[in-house]
Amino acid sequence: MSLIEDSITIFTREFAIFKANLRSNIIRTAIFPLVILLFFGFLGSAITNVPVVVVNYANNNQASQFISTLSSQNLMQVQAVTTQGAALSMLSSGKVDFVIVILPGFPLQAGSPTVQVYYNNLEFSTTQEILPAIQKDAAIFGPAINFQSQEYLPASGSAASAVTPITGANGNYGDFLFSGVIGMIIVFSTLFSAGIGVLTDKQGGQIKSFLITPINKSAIVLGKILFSAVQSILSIFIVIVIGLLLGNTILMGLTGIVWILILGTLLGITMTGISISVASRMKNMTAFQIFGQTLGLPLWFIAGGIVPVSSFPPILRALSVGDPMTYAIKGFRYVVLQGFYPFSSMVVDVTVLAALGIITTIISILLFKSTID
Amino acid sequence: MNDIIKIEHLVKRFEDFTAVNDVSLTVKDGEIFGLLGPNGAGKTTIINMLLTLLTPTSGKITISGMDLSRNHERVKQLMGLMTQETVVEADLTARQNLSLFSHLYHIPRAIANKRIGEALREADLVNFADVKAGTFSGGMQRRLGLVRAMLQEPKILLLDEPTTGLDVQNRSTMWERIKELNRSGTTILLTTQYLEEADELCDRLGIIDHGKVIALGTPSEIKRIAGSGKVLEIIVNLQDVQKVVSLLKSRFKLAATYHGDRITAPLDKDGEGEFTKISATLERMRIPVLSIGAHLPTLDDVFIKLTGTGMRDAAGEMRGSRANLRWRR
Repeated sequence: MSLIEDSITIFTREFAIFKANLRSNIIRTAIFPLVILLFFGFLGSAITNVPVVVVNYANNNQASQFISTLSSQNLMQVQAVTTQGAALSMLSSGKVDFVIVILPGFPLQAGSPTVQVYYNNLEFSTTQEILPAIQKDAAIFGPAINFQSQEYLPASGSAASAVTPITGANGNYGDFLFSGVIGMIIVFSTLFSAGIGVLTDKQGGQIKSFLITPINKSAIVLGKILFSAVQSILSIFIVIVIGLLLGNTILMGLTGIVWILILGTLLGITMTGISISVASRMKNMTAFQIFGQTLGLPLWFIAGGIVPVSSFPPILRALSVGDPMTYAIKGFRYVVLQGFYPFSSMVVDVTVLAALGIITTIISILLFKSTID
Repeated sequence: MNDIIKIEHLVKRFEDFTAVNDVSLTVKDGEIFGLLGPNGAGKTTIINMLLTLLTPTSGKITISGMDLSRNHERVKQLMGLMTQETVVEADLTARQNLSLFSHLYHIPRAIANKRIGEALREADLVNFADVKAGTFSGGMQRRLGLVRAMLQEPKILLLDEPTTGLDVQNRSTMWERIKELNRSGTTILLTTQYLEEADELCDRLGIIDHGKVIALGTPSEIKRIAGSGKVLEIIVNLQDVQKVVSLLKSRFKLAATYHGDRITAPLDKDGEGEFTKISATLERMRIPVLSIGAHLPTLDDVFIKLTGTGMRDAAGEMRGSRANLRWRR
C-alpha cells in the first residue's frame, strides 16, 4: 500500500515541476510535430512523373492513342518495352512503379482482360492516384473495358511479417507522417526527458534527499514512470490537435484516438524504462544526450516513422521487428490511414508493448541504486 | 546520557582510496557534536554512511540502540539532514517543498498541515510560501532546508557544513537556530571546516584528517593539546623562517612549527618570561620581526600541532577560511 502512496508522492512532485514550467513544456512538445508536419506533411500531395512502363501487345490505333493519352499528363512518365517479362523485371528492380500491359484484344474482347496493370505499392499514395487515372484513360475506349490490376510481388515473396499498411482512403503522405510523428513525440518526451530528469535529480542532490526518507526506492522509479505515462498522453493530445489543425485525418475517429492513447502510453512506459535504466548507471549528462540521440532517431526510422517498413532492405526490416516503436506506429497507421484495426494485429501490438513495458519497468527498478556509491 | 549514535571501527574504501579509516566515536543524546576537518577529510562520507547512502566497507553503526545495517526505515524516521548544497526543489514553492517531504516521511495530513504552517513561520517565509524556491536567496533556501529537515521532528539532526558559503549575518542566525533546536531536545551532529563554528557550537568534537579521528573531546579539552600555556606566534620574512624555527628549537627548547611565514610554538604555563627573552634575541640577531605575540590556544593551533605543518594545502577553501580567521582574531 505504501509503495503505491509513495509512487503517487513522487508522481505528484514530477507533475508539479512539469506544471511549474507548463508553457515551455508545451512549446517544446509542440514545436517538433509542427515543424515536421508543416514542412514535410505536404510532400506527397501532388504526384508527378511516376515512372511507368507500357507493353503494347495490341499494336492497333486505339492502343497508340491510349499510350499517348497516358503520357499527355504530368502524372506519368511513360516508356515502352516489347515484352512483359522485361517490364516486370524493371518493376521488381524498382526502376518503375507500374507496368501496363495492353493485351491483343484491346480495346474490347469479351471474357478476358484487355488491360493489365502491375504495381509495387512502395510509394505511399501513388497507387491510389495512378490506378484510377489509368482506368479513366482506358475507359475512353469503351466504358465496359475489361481492366485488371494487381500488386506484383517478386518471386522471392518478400512480403515480410511486419509490413506497414500504407493504403488509406485519401492516403497522402501527410497522414502517413502524422502517425509517425505521434510515435516520435512519445520517444522525445520519454526516452530523453525521463533519463535527463533522473540525472538532474542525481546531480542536484534530490535523489539523495529522497533516499534518506523512509520511502521505498522502487517508488521513486515507479512515480517517474507513472508521470511519463501521463506525459505521453499529454504529448499525444498536443500532436493530434496540431495534426488535425493542419488537415490530417484519423479515419477511425474517436475510437482511433483511444487506440492511439493506449499504444502510445505503453510505448511511453517502455521508453521510460529504458531511459531510467541507462540513466541510473550514468553520471554524465552529455553522455546521456548522446545515448538518447543515437537511439531515438534510428528507432524512429526503423519503425517506419518517415518511410514505410515495406521499402526497407531486408536487414532493416529484420531490425524493425525488434523495435518497440514499430508496433505502436503500425497500430497508428491502421487507425489513421485505414480506419480499422484488425484484431490479430491489435493483439500482437498490445501484447508486445505491454510485455516490453513491464520488463523495462522491472529492469529500471533493479538498476536504480538505493545508495550513492 | 545515552549514546544515541555509536560508530565502531568504521571503514569506507573507494577502490584504492580509503576515505574513512577505522573511525570510532559516540554522540550522546542531546548534545551538539562536531566533526571538524578540512575538505576531503572524510566528514561527508561518515554522514552518508549514517544516512545509509553509502554502505560501510566494515565497521558498525548503532543509532538509538538499533543496528543501522538492519533497521533502515525506522532509523530514517529518526534523522533529518541539511547539507551545504541546500537541496530545495527550485521549481516548487516553499509550501510545495514542505508538503512533498511531509508525504515522503508519511506524516498524516492533518499533522502535516499544522507543521508546514509552523515551519514557514519559523523559517520566516510566510510571505514567500507560494513563491518558487529557486528564486530565494541563499540564506532563505538554507532556512527552508533546515525547517524541511525538521519536518518529521527527528531526534537527530545531521548538518553537513550548515554555514559554508553564508554571509556573516546569515551564519549567526543559523547558529542561533541550531542552538535553539538543540535546547528543544534535538541531538545535532554537524560537520564543519570552520574552527570558530566548532568552538562556538559544539559540546564535544572530533578532529578528523585523512579519514582518521586525530582528537576527540570538548573544545577546551582539545585546546589543551596545544599546550597548557599561551601560544607564541611570530611572523617574519620568509627567508628568516627556518633560522627562527631552529633558534626556537635549539636555544629555547620550544616545539616550534611554521606555516608560510607564521611560526607558532606553545609556551609553558610559566613561560611568559621567555617571551621577552625571545624578542630581545631576535632583535639582537637583526632579524626583522613583522609581528610577535602570544594568545590563548585556539583550535587552529591544535590543528597545526596535530597535523604537522598546518592543514593540507590541497584544500583551497580551507586556506581562505584560515586567512579569515586570522584576520578576525
